[in-house]
Amino acid sequence: MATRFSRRFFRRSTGGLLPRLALGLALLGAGAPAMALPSFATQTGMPCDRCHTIGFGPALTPYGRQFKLNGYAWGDSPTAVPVAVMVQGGFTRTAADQPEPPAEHYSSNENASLDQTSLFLAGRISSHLGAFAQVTYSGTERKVTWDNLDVRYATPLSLGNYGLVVGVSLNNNPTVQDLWNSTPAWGFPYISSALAPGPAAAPLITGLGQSVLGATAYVMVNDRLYLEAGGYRGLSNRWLRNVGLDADNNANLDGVAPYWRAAWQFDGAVHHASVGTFGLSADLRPDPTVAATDSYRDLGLDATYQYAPPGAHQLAANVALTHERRHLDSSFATGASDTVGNQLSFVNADLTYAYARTWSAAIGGFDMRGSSNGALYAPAPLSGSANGSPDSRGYTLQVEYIPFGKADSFARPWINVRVGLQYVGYQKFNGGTTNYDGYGRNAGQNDTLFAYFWLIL
Amino acid sequence: MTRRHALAAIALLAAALPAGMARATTCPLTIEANDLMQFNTPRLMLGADCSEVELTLHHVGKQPAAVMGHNWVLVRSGDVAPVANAGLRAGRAQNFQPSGDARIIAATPLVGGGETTTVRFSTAALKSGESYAFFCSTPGHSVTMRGALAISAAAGQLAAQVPR
Ligand SMILES: [Cu+2]
Repeated sequence: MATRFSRRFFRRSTGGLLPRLALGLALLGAGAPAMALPSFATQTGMPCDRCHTIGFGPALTPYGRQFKLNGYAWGDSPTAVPVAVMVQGGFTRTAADQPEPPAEHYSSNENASLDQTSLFLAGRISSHLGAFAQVTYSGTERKVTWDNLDVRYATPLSLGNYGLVVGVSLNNNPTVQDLWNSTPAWGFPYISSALAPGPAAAPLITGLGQSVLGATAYVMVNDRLYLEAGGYRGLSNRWLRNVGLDADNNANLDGVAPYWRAAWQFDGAVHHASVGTFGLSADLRPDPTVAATDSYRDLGLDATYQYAPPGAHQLAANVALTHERRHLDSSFATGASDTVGNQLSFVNADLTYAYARTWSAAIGGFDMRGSSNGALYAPAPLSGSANGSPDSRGYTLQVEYIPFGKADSFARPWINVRVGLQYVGYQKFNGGTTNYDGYGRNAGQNDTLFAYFWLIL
Repeated sequence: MTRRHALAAIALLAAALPAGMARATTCPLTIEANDLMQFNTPRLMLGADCSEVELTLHHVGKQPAAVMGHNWVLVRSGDVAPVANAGLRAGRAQNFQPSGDARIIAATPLVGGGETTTVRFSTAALKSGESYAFFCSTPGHSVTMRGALAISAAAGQLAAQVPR
């Protein structure tokens, strides 16, 4: 999930060190889980599948996007309890043992784990104000931290021939406030093993979650055009300690990092599509003794498609391309990077078929390419790169069973279960196929089978 | 005017009017809405000779109006988003319809699962060459619950429903 991912990333980017442990999920798992919260369901009186495809989050239906856009504030059930609990865990098996156990208290392979337990405070605060706040206990890291936060105010306006919804979001993870599932915070595959190795590189925008706080303002015009802009600031070590994190998680942001998002969406009766762009421009000061900064310019292009006819069949697809231009003056000065100029491109696509909002089968693909940089991506067992390349490529296959979340579900909306089998395969990992890390490990040895359960109460 | 004169005048008037325009032709239209925030058709067709429409909205779902209430609102196509937004502000007490809004050509009140409602309106306000849309004004529903109302070029008394 995002917290884990960001920690991993910052250990690397701030010190210019490759992570000692490439803990965490497969590359795409930057998306944090959550949602389909019973607290939202009681507030609106609706079953989860009105807002979430297949009756379980986080993928949103067109109505779910409207609900979020309007500040999580619709619905006025007097019995609504704005609290929900989520538990995720499973069994992780990599094709070959990891050189060391991925975390304390675990083996080097075949681990059963309770990856995370989250408490949500989520729901309407007033008629235009709502919140989604998550606190998470990581069963693998054995600590409690704050997790995703999105507090928003929104109001509809009519201006001549335009129907607008304008709002502001206060959040701690760029794109956690986004309405589509193509952007990093809520992207496929929504759940990943906390104990599987993941590629070393990632665009900055996927790794800032919980280490920053930002405010953005947005407008949706005629349900078609979405525009959003704002900025993020880093948090002090003291602040991070107060939310369960530590100095390792400090993003070391220098000043405000502007964020922007634009999307054009089409909603027909059964076809829903969007195309968009998003971006973040951040300057980091990884070493306070060096005057220079590292600058990151992330530019994303994304598209989504959903097909939801009245019957049992549903399709959803997402694609995103994120390009990152880096200017690593600081890291170059300290020897943490071979060069000043550096870049990274990340393509991520997924297609999910769901039957009767109960069964789903999904396929995803990802491709990371970037400049070689022997200092940034140095050889190290499992997590390193023999040739200094961040290139990684692979796929995700997934089947799931989601028995609840429908209008006629047992104990609706309080019991929500998702069980699944996920396979992540790597054709290339940190620049290589065979002996990619310089210590004899092959990319395919990181292929991961994850049998999981995901519970929301 | 004597009674005889009056009768003669009516007879003359009736003879002078082209067939089909003398009497009001009320065309029935039916549309269904469900618990999944869907209408059963994205397009309603109206015969060219309909002078009045009787639209029946049937909510075939089970959920109550407070949770999954639907209505049927007819506006010019370009007015869907602004009227839906004005409806959001109007609130449930007004069926999520801005009161006295001239952009609303016709509208039903909200109904819950199992309920039916009907609205009658004259087609005099519908101009040829203009495109019209219907939608449900419950918050968030218009994204999926919307469609087009088309007036058939050919005369034909029956208003047809085009299935999805
Ligand atoms: Cu509706």
